[in-house]
Amino acid sequence: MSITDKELQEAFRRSQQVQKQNDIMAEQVNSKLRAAVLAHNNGIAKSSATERAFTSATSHIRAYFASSTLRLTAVAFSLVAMLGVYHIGLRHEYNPGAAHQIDIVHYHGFVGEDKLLANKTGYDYNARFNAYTQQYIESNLVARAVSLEPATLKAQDGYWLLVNCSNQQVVVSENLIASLNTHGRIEGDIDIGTRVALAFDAQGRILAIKQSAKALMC
Amino acid sequence: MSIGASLQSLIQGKRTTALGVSERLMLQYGKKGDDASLAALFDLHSNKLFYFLRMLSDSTMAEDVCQRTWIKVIERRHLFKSGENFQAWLFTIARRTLIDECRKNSKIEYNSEAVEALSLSEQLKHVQISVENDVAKGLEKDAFKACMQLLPYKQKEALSLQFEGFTVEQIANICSAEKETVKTRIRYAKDALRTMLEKL
Repeated sequence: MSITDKELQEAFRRSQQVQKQNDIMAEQVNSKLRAAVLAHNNGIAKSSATERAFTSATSHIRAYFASSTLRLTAVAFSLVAMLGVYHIGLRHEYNPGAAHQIDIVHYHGFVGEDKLLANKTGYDYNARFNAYTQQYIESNLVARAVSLEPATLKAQDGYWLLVNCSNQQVVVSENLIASLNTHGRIEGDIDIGTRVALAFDAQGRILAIKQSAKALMC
Repeated sequence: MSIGASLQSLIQGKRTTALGVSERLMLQYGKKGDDASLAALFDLHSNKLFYFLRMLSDSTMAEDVCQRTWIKVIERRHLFKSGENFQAWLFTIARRTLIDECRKNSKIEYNSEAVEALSLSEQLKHVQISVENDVAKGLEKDAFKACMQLLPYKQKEALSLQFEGFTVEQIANICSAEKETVKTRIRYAKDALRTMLEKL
């Protein structure tokens, strides 16, 4: 009997898993790439800040050297006009996304993959990042849930996407799911649409995902 | 609120719920340029992207193209519009970057027609050698990957994208090809794969 399309698809997924296991360098390459990409992003953010600072300093110097009120007014007027154009440009640039309300996304993944993010908890992110370590997952000392939150599993594509009562998205990385599974912290037959209870520790890190026998109240 | 405005907000509300997690993260990243959204997008898509690129090239080139792709995502973040599929957008950038790279250093032939000239027995021999090499290196054998790598470039590209979950229409957009052409490439690729896997 001929191999079906479904069997080919499964063979492809298996092959992806085998390559992941075979390639011990892939994990290192991935971490290296990640750090380089985030460093590039930081570089761009810094250069934009420098640009803004430079513009502001130039305008101050011009104002300082203006000998007459008329020149000062002219400089001020052109600055206002420039800022206005720039502002309109910015508004136009981001217009496509403006039509959508972006829900808060809670992202849970391993800290080993993002040293850069670990020091930036003070930032006002809409996407909140919760970092984990292997030791944290393995430790029994921290395995003490302080809160349970109901959620529904909406998608599974390696990572898990859950939606909580506040309609916020909770994304759990593929590696973290694998780790929780290994340590028996995923309980029940969880599929898309299943209501679950997320057990969190005091730091807001997920300790376990359990299928809820009875519906938890939001 | 007018009826028109209510309808508009209702439609917008519906669109909001239809947005996927990656699309939300990308819109958020486009707006703020923050590390958290970018890191989350990287974690969700980097493995698949790397595997796709490695299927079409080698490890070194895949790594290089992967990095260039993400840098383009950073630089073109304002070009991503709501309603677009993030993964399709990412893979389109990656594919174009890979082709540019292939043309630049001509290490890998974009049109690997030569492979098509191999007879079935020669193809099977190649697969066996590749699997034996993996085993000799102490790696788990992966005959499927060895067979995939023997497919002509464009067939391999279309089939890999389909296995990643893209629709024929999305693949046609990513590869800048007609839908019918994509369907044909996928059909040929699957037939060739089946023949090789069944004879192994």
